[in-house]
Amino acid sequence: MTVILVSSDNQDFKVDKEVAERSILIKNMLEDVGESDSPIPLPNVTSAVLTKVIEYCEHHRNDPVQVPEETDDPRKRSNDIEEWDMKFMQVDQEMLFEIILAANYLDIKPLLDVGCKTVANIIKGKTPEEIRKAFNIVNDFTPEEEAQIKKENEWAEDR
Amino acid sequence: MSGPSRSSSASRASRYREPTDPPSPNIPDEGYYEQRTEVPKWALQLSEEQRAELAIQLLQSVSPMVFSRAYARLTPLLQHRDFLAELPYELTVHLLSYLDERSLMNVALVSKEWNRFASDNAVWKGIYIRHGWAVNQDMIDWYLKGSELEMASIALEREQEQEHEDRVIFAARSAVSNGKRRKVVDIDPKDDAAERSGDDYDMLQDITTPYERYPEEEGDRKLHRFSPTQFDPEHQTDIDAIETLTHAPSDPPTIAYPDPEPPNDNLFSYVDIFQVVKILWTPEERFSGPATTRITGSSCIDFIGSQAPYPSQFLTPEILQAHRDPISGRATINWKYLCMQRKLLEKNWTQGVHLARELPGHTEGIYCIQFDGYKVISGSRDTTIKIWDIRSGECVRTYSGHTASVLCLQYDDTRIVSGSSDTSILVWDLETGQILQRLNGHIDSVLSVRFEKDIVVSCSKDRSVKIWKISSGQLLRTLRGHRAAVNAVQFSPESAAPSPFRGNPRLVVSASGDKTIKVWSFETGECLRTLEGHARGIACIQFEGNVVVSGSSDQSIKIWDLSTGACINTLAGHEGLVRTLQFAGGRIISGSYDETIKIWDQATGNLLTDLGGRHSHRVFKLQFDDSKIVSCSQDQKVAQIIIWDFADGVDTTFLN
Repeated sequence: MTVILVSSDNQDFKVDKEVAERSILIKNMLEDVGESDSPIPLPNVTSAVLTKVIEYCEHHRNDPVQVPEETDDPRKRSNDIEEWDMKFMQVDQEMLFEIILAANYLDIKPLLDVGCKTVANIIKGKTPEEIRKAFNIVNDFTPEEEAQIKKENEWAEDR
Repeated sequence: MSGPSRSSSASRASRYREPTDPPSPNIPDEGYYEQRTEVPKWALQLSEEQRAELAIQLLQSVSPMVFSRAYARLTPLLQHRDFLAELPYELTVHLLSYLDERSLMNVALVSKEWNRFASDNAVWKGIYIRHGWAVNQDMIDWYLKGSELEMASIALEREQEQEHEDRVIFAARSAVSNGKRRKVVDIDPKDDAAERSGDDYDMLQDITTPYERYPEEEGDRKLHRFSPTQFDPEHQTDIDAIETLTHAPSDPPTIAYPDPEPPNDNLFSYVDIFQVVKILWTPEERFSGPATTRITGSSCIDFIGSQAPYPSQFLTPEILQAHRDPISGRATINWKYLCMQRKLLEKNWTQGVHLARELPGHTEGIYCIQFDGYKVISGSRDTTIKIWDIRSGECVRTYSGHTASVLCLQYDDTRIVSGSSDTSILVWDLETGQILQRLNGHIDSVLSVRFEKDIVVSCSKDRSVKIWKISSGQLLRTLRGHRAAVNAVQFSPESAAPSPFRGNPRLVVSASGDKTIKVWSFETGECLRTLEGHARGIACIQFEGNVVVSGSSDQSIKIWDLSTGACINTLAGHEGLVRTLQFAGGRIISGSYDETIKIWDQATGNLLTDLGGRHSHRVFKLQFDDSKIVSCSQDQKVAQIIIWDFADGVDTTFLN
């Protein structure tokens, strides 16, 4: 069985129900509506982003459903990203940003996690200056303020 | 540069690498990243400016169509996103929860806005929990509830004060307007002020909820809110006092009620409210009131009983300040602060920084100890069991009953179970020292006992392991199979996670002088597995889930996988029999006949710290928690219990 998803720019995407239901939002919508072939409008997602999201869902169509308690337990949290996902996430920042928002809106937890991990991994291991460069952020600290924060945070430095 | 996929295609999950690290060209292109030409090494050695200039010149040399394709690929790369600022706040917090504290510190230094995100309490709570660090939940509950209570009582006082003022004004006005005679009661303002003079008042006064100002016409109703107990007939004066009051506002505040009889409608009196608040915080509803707080008497503060102090009575202003929401002023747990304290504590452990204290008192060697936040219980060659106040170091109880050395013991909230070289096992009332049960059946020294609820498991020099029922004193089962003394035993708790054996039996694990560890079914007594590998007898073990750690006379410590029976690691370093050990939180701590205590990293097997030079004899037993080790040794002249405290310079108020 297939469903039709409509992006914000009015493009139709015909996908398998199983694939579409990786999105909990869509899954709940389908359950509410029952058997129906009316298209599902997704006014918050552009066709470019929806293409990527569907690609992700296609690849992960047979993944076991995540147990929320398990993934939310911070002790079990890992920064590891599957190889396919890692390559999938090699996009520009604009797209990465949009994917995270779409995953949040569509309620696709694993995709949201992968998106957040990708950003976290860009931050990881970088100096503050390198982070600013990566995200084009202006340093608005005075040298005194910077020194103050460094001093407050000294304890985290050594292991 | 090698792409991530070349080496790791076998392992499905691989660490993400920088996007500048492109996939290898011999991998089929999946369209996410394209790099058709390797950048010459020399070009990378140029300065940034030179590289940009080179690229521009190269682009200028190509046809407009190729240029525009290149341009189209470059443009998105210039579209930066300030993820933290632009994502919804909860997603930012989620994103930051993937960072470690070190990366968060770098985030804090990026900009003022990023600094705010990096300080988010939820993010730090996540880090704290992810480390597997525990908190003292009783203390946290006490602090949060106690602060609420404290604020409520201050708000009440202020309301009273306000009421007081209202009454004075009301009384004065009505006296003036009616000209009738009324009874007037004086209240000494000094009493009121004295109650509020503490620091706590000053610190908290800004965060109390604003009290209601009662309009004049409601004065009558308001007056009924006063309890009759607050009227003192001695202070009754005449209407003249009120007359003067209106003209002399600097006089002491005066209070009046309009009716000759005291009001009986005191539903909302101060006393009532206070009791309601107290009842809301009746700790017995949640806690079973551990005997531990009673046994050590007055020297120990009961944080979970109804007599618990207010936070401001117990904590320093610095700690109170740290755990307060900067915006609302409400009491809250500052997780970043807790992370910092934990980190300092970890550092002390890693570097072996500690303060040591001794508990002198036993006249002969001490074989066994167990401790908690309030007390240490020890068993000695002098045949007694002693209970010590861990804070004051005072011996608060001595129990006699065994006729020979007390070799092993364990206690819970109400009972102590001990084993002795007199071959008996005694069950004691922890509070009174009364002997509740005697378990006789071993025919040689009882070397180790463990109990939970109604079940005791013991092992003996007589080579057997026995399972007993405390209430009936009945011997349920004897496990035979070891060919030498059984030195240590442990059994899985009733609520244990599934064991790796068929039918998920509850397990008994024993270690023997015959060099083996045996795993038994608690229910059937069947020996399920024998772990072999130590070169000499085994003195101590601990097991947890799938992991068994053992210490041996061969001077080594071995880590075993219970499900396969394989030895995973061997830790060498002690120069004598490893008599005692414990593992928790990634650390293994061991005590040896070489008179040292050693701290090991469980994952790597590396020796972290060597604590030598304090015990002057064989170390018999140790236990540790998040901030200290308590150990005991053989010394026959000055019996030694040493408390090694690693929390020097660390605020452990809310730490476990």
